[in-house]
Formats: sequence, C-alpha cells, structure tokens
Amino acid sequence: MSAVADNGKRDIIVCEDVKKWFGDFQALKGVTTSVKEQEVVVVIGPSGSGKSTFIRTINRLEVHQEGTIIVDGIELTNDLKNIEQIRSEVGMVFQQFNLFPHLTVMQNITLAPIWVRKKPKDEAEATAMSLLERVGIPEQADKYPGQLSGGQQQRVAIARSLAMEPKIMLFDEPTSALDPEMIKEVLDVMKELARSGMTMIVVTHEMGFAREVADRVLFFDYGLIVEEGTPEHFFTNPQHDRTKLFLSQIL
Amino acid sequence: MSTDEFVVHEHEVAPEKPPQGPWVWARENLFSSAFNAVLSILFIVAIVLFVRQLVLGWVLDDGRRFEAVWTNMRLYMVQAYPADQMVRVWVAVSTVVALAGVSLAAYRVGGQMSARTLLRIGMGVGGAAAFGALIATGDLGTRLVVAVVAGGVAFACFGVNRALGERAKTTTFHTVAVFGAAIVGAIVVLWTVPFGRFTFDSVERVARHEPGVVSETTRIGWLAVAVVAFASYFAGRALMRVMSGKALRGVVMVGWVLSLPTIVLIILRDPDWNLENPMGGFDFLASTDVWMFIGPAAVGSLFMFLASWPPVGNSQGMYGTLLLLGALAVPATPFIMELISDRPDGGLGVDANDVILIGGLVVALFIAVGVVLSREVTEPGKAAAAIVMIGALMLWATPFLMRGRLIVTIAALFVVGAPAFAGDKRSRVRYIGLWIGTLAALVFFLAAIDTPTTLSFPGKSFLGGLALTFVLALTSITLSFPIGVLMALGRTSSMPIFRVMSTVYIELVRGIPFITVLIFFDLILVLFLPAGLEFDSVTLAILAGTLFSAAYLAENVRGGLQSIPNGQYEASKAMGLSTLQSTVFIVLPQALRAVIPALVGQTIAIFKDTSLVAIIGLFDFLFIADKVIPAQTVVNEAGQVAFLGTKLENILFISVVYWIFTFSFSRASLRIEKKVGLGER
Repeated sequence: MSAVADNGKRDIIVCEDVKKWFGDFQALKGVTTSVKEQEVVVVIGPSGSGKSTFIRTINRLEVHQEGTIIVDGIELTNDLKNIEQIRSEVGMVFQQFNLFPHLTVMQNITLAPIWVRKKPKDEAEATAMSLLERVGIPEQADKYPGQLSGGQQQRVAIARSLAMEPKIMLFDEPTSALDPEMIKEVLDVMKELARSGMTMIVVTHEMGFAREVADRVLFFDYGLIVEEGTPEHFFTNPQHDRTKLFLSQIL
Repeated sequence: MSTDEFVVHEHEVAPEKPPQGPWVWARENLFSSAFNAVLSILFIVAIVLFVRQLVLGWVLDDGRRFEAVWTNMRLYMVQAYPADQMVRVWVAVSTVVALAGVSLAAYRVGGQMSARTLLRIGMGVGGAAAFGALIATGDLGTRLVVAVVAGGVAFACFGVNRALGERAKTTTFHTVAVFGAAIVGAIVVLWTVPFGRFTFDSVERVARHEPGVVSETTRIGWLAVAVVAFASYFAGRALMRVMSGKALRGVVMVGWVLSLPTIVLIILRDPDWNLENPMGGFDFLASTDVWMFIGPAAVGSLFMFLASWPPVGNSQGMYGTLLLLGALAVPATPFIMELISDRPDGGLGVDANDVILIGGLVVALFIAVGVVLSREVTEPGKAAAAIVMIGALMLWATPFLMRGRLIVTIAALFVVGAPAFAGDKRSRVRYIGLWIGTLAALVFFLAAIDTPTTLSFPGKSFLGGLALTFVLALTSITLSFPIGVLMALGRTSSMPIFRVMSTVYIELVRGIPFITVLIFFDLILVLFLPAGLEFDSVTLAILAGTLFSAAYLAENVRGGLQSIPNGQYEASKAMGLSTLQSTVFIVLPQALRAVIPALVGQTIAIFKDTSLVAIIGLFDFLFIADKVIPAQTVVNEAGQVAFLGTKLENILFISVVYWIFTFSFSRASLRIEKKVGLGER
C-alpha cells in the first residue's frame, strides 16, 4: 500500500510549523508534516503529547495560533465558509462516539447529508442503509444509540461520518472507550475502510492495527513529532530514545 | 480456593416470594422500632385531628354558605360577559372540547383500565368517606347513615373484587370509555339533582328557600358540550380509518394553534359575529387587510428568494434586482401609505418628510443588502439580516402604521434565517412558504386585535373570571416560550452583544416582583411608546406575563443547555452543520427534554401568578372570590343580605379549582417525561 501512496499521489493535508497554546501551556510546538491521498497515518504517543490536539486542529475543532494547515487546497483560517466546507469533507470519529442520543441511528446518519449536502431524504436513507450494511449492523437502523453496545455505537459513528462522503477520515482514539471484546469489530471496520483507499489519520494505542494497516507512523511527544516512519522501521528499528522507551513500555 | 480450581456456579430457581400484605408492610415500615412506632402513632393522630377539626368540621359546618359559590358560577367563569351573548361562550367551550375529542382519537390517548383498578378506587373512596363520616363532628344520625352507605360501597367493591378473582385483573375497560361514562353521569346529575338550599332568581335578585335545579341555560349548554365531546371523539376515530394518524395529528395541531386567537378574538370579542352573518364586523378585511397581506407577501418573498440565493455566482443579477426594488419602493411608499391610512381606526398624519425618510431608508437598506450579498453568501446573509434588523428598529421610531412596523420586524427575523435555507430550490420554496404562512397568521391576528369590540360590559375588559385566567396563562406561556429559548441561547452565545443583552434583561426582570412589572406596563409603558399606540389591559397583562415568564424560562433552558456534553457540539461541528442547524437539531431538543420538569414548574407558576392582574383592575378568578362575591348584596326571603362576608367559602372553592388544574399539569408532565425517556439515556 505504501508504494501506491508514495507514488504520484498529491498531498491532501499539509501542516507547516503548527503551534497551539492552551493558555500558558503549549500543546503543539511546531508540527510539520503532510499526508498524501489514500495514505493511512497512525499517530501514537504518550498521553498529553499533543496527538489528539493535532488531529483536532485538522478540522479546526481546535484553533492553531501559528503556522499553516492546508486541507484539500484550502487553508484553515477564521473564514467560517472555508471551515464549514472542510468539515463537510473531513469525517471525524471520537473516542466517546458522540452520537446524538435523541435521534435514531438512521436519523443520526442522515442528518448531515440532508441538511449540509442537501440530499433528498430517501436518497440519504438509502445511502445510510448501505453504510450500515458495510459496518455490519443494518438491523439496528431504527434503534436509539442508548440501546446499542459501545462497539455498535462506534460503528454507527463511522457510518455517520462516511455518509458525508468525506475525502479524509480522522479517528481520535476510536477504541479507547470500548470493552476489550468490542475493539475488534471496530478495528475490522477501520481496516476495511483503509483497504478501500480512504485517507485516514488515526490516533490510537492499538499497535497491532498500526503494524497491519499504517503506511506511516508518527510518534508524538511534548507537542512535537519525535519520530516517523513505516511500521516496519518504527517497530523494529526505532531511532530516538523516547520512542524506544515508549515502545518498551507498551509492547 | 486454589487458583487452578475452576468452579461453575449452579444457579437455583429463585426462592419463594417473601410474605406480603398490609400487616407485613405496616410492621416493616411504620412500626419497625419503638421510636418509629411512637412517631407513626403521633402523626396518625395529628392527621385525624386535623381532618376532623379543621377540614371536615369547618367545611361541613352549618354556618357555611357554599350557595354563594354555586349561585355565582357564571360570575366565576366569565365574569360580566353579557348574558344575551352567552351562546358564544358555549360555542367557545364546544370548540375546545371538539378539538380535545378529535385529539384523543388522533393521539390514541388512553390505555386499558382493569376492573380491579376501578374497584380499588371504589374501595378507597368509599372507605375514606366512611372514615371521614365517623370522625367528623355534627349530627350522629346523619354521620352514621353516610358511614354505612359509604362503607357499604367500599365493602361491595371489595366483595366484587374477591368474587372476580383473577378475572378482575383480566377484565379491562378503555380509559376513554370510563371517562365517557363519568361525563354521562355528571350530565345526569346536573339535570336531576337539586343543588343547595336556595333557588336564585337572577331577575328579581332574590334567593328563595327551596333547593334549586341548575338553571336551564347551563344544563342545555353542558349537555350540548357533552354531545360535542362524544361526537368529535367518534368523528376522530372515523377519520383515523380514512386518513393516516400523522395527517390527522397535523390537522389537529393546526386547529389548536388557530383555536386560541379564533376563540378569544372572534367568538368572544367581536359582537357582530353570528351564524347568520359570519363575516360581520370584518368587511374591512377585503378593503385593507387583504392588501396588507398581499403586498408584503409578494415583496418579502422576492426579497427572501434573493437572500437565500445559492453560492452567488450571478450576484450581479441580484444586485440589480435589489436596486430596482429599492427604486420602486420610493414611488410606491405614498401609495401604500394612502392605502393603509384608509383604515377606520384613523389616519396616520404622514407628511411628505416622513415619506422621503422612509422611502430613503428602504432604498438604503436594499442597496446595502445588495452590496453585501453581492460578495459572498454565508456571512452576507447574516449581515443582511443585521441591516434589515436595524432598519426595522428605526421604523419603530418613525410615524408609521403599527402593522407595518411589525411586518418589517418579522421580515427581518426571517432574513436572519435565510442562510440556513440557502441552496437547493426545494428548501427555498419551503422557506418562502413559511414566510407567507407566518405573515398570514400575523395579519389575521392583527386584524382581529384591531377590531374594536362593541360588546357592552362593565369594567376594563370583556374577559373575566376563569376565562381571563386561562387566556392570560395560555397566551403568556405560549408566547414566552420562544422568547425564553432565544434569550437562553443569547446568554450562552459566544457573541458578546447578545450575551450582555440577554444577561442584563434576565437579571433585571428576575430582580423585580411581578406586581411591579404589571404596574410598570399599566402605567409607565405608555410613556415610552410611540404616540397613538395604546394597549388594553388584557394585552398589557399578557405582555407583562410573557416578558416576565420569559426571563425565568430562559434560566431554566440555560440549565438544559449547560447539561449538553461538549462532544455533542463537536460532533455536529465536525459534520459540517452550521451553528443554527446544530442548535435546532441537536442542542435544543436535548436541552428542552432535560428541563421538562422545570418548564412545567414555570407553567404552573404563571398559571397561579395570573391572579396578580387584579392589581391593574382586571377581574380574574381570585379577585372574584376575594372581593366581588363577598360584597354581593343579594337579598333573601327574610330580607337578609345573602352572600356578604362569604370569603372563606369562595377562597376554598377557588383553591380546589386551582389545585385540580395545576395537579393535572404536573401529572401530564410526568407522562411526557416518561414518553420522551427522560433519565433513560
């Protein structure tokens, strides 16, 4: 896969010296990287290293103060129109699922296509149904999120993001809030998505997933990318001391 | 247990139920310890004494003159409404009852009630009555008879329940049928049972010592209402068979929304309305109000069609159109003014200067909006709205017809929403349809309000008594709801101007007693209003109630808004929903659900607070009980004043009525909470 991603694909996300402060605390200290179309990038690092903050700046859930971020040729600025356009093309899956509890699974998935993409309702519902089949839970369409298990909820959240036909998918620790036996069902969906050629940035602690699916691994610490490389390089021959320490602690 | 041992637990069948029954319950709960037993006995004795001495002793005392209540029922309900026009009150009541009947069918209200439940109610009521008769003071013979009869009823219910056994549980009745039977019973009682100790002759204003049957007009009226209730319920059932429940519920909902203004403004207020002359008093509609609707509808639709333009590739065309509209507005303004001032309620006294001022303002607005719109779409929609808002505000300061001001203000509010509807043709058409519908409702409402009533009544208002209480409560609650929600959103908004304005308003109003607000509206508001603008007392009371209640509602809703987890906002943002969309679809539905109990509390508070309007000279339900009836100089046969000083009886009566309504509200709220699954997320 990496060969495909590296050759002739254009950069769809470009980050240049991105800095971000929360009050006095600097969460990102100058992140420079780029992601190519159809590339799967896994971001790992200890907690507080800025990896979640980084992924959230890409659809501007967090506002960066310095540096530039260009997504699909559009620079992220305070221009609301640009932000809304980027958000409708960048799907995001959260650690806590963040499904809308007062809407059924079907309504959760069709809301944005109907109101943002202005799709007719029946068309949006047909798409939603095929997405639910793709993530393996078509029979849950008329239930409320509260009636589903954690793994099912996260799969609905993935289907909800996919319904907007995004060019990029961001995953912010998608399996961290799940019971162990439900992690696999979510990872399987993500693997299938990666194989289908979706551009993905995944913040995760699932090293098995990183090894199997990632084209590239970014290791974050203290708000910086400490080390990056292919999974083989990363897991078998890490260069930096911090990376070695981190890997020795979790593997 | 060693670690390599693997134990499989065999679960047995659940053991037998522990012993149950009233004695077991009492032992476990009332007499579980010596201290508990002493407390239980003390409080039971206290309750019995309280009921005996204060409640029964007082209510059943020979000196009580409850005929003051029964005789004045009409005063209580509609105060001084002219007797010869009373048929309209019955039409109004029947309208509400008919809507209620169809709604019961459309929403499939009511479940099954088992025979056991009914029998238990019989046992409870009978037992309580028998117990009450035994502990009451007064004639022993009467008390024994009542106790035996009531006890007999309770015992009979108990016996039937026993005899039926399991069948009592499986035999069920539809609750609506039970309710219907109760209505039939009440009507039969109304027609046959003589009430009280007097017959009150309203012509000679004399009360004679003979038990009086309820007056004929009342009996016929309630009979008609009951017939309407049954007819509408069965009509609703029949309609459910020919149309979908969803469609019928939509119709019913529209009916409810239209019913309040129709009842208050047309049936009750406009005297010329009757069956022979349904358009009576509304001839001016065709001459002016229709045009008041058509003009703004056409111009406004065009404007909104442009304001919701999709990504502005051909903004030049729009800019041109707006300029043209502006140019047309100048010569059209005097013509429109002329048309408007044709109204019977007086001309405007608009001179050339005003026309130029207003015309110029309109042109400036159109040009400004055109310029802004011609650049880009998201921001400009908002900017356009802001500009139209400023224009609408400025219009309030110029001598201009009240309706014109209101219509422009509503139009401005609509333009605020334009960006949300921008884009495909379908949503734009829907948007314009919504505008025309709102405008029609507004014009209708204004026309109805503006019609002077020729009903002759003493006092400040044609409404009084329970009718006034209801109109004030319903209107204030309905109107304050959207304002309160907007203000809560404003207070939590990230835009400082809205935040500061909402906060100042809320804190100001919450720091002032309602009576003060009422007095302010009654006496002081008129000084701030443009010349020629006056409201009658009921409108003022509604305004005061609405604005007062909105501040409290806003705080309740804010509580709900704060209970929404941040993840919900992030998820809706991440999906590309605009702020308006995420507020309407994601945030508000959840926030309002979370605060249903607080909203019901507020509704109940407003319902009771309406009694304060007596301070501005309105005759509400409480005032009649407190001041009017106890001062009545009705003479009886013995030449005595009949109802002078009957304050306590009347206050007791209205307390019970208030309680019945507020208690129903809170029970209904419990049902709604269950239905929307509050606390089950």
